[in-house]
Amino acid sequence: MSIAEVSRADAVLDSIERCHREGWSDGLPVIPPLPELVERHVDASRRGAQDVVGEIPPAWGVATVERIAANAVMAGCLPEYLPAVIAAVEALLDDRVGLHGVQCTTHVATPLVVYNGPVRRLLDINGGHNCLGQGHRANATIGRAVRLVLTNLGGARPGGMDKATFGHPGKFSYCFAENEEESPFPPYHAGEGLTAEDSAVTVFAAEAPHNVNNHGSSDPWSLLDTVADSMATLGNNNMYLASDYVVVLGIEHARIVADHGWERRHVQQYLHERARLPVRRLRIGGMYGEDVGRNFWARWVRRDDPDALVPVARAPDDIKVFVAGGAGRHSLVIPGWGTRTSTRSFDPQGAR
Amino acid sequence: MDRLTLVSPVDVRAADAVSLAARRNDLSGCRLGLLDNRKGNANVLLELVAAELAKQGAAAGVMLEKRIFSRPATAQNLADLAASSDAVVTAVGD
Repeated sequence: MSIAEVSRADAVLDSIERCHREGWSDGLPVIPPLPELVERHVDASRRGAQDVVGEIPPAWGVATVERIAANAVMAGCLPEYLPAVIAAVEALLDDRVGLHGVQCTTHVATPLVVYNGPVRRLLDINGGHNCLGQGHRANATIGRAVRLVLTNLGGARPGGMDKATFGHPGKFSYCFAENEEESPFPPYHAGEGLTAEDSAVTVFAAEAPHNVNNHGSSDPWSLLDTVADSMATLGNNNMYLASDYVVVLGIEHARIVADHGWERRHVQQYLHERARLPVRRLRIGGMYGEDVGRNFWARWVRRDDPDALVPVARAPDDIKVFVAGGAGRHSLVIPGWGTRTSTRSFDPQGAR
Repeated sequence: MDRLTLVSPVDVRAADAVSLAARRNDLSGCRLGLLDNRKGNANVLLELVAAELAKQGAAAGVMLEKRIFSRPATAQNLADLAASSDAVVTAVGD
């Protein structure tokens, strides 16, 4: 090996180590944000390098396109992913997400990022088998880029302003697509004021996914009772804050429901009716314990009635139902941190 | 070895902008404001702190409670505290 080659290898390793030393990494190696690489990403977004996407709490770092691109490069994104990363960042700045609190909380929450529409195929974002696992570059790196933006531009570093007691593995990347091709329902975003032809991103401050195994049911009632039972647990924030809740029906579970003529809204209504716990049980946990009057429950809940049933969300529409995954009789329930989802359309080819 | 140039993924200005308030040397006659984030026990902690500071001469002032603990204090919250207090203590309960 020549001296020049050794020097070049040392320079690359030095730049990777510098990213670690500066605290820019999530702990895994990153691709150094070389100016030439960052420029390619900026060009792919068809936006100006200094265009401001927003300010990221809690440090309120200014998220320019160039800075987001630098984080996307580090995450291992391809240049064409940048519009999807920017769209997720814009959605996270929706006040309903409450990003300031999400970034600083002791809770495990981290933003879940879900894509719908043509962008899924354009970028090959996985919505099928193992869509929340390893093995797909778009899922792994887009979610990672969002996390790096939140850490580097928001200043929420573990042990610093990120006060998470545990965090969860989704803080490395937490991204999937809806499996629109195998879903019996219209795409999720079509129910959020957009059209099926739009590319869309949905973000949600979320716990890790919890699996719902039901291989026995062939009717929607018993199947969704299993889902509802998994949703309403004493320790999750929804029981005290009644925020949005994400449910991901596996394709086989979704078909059972649809084969009985049920639509997405029927699933929402049934889960809202069944995913409940009585006031007397909720007195032993949560943020306020016996002082149940301080919980953010729906106004109509009788707080002085120990047998009154408290739903996991204020209204059926607050239970957000996606369809994803591959073969297998499983679904997922994903409790929230205490705030809302945000869905927006974007041009996957870049620019506004 | 040539060092490679990197594009910074952080906003250095924002990272440097956060600093602690200057420490007061004297609390005599100081009107003390308290900002409760509304989590469990934040008010308990603040009242204990206020009692300790009163021994050093601080005067009881207003105690405000944020409506939603996960949100930053509102501009009105901060304006009210600024108008009625010489020093403010906040606490995060859990």
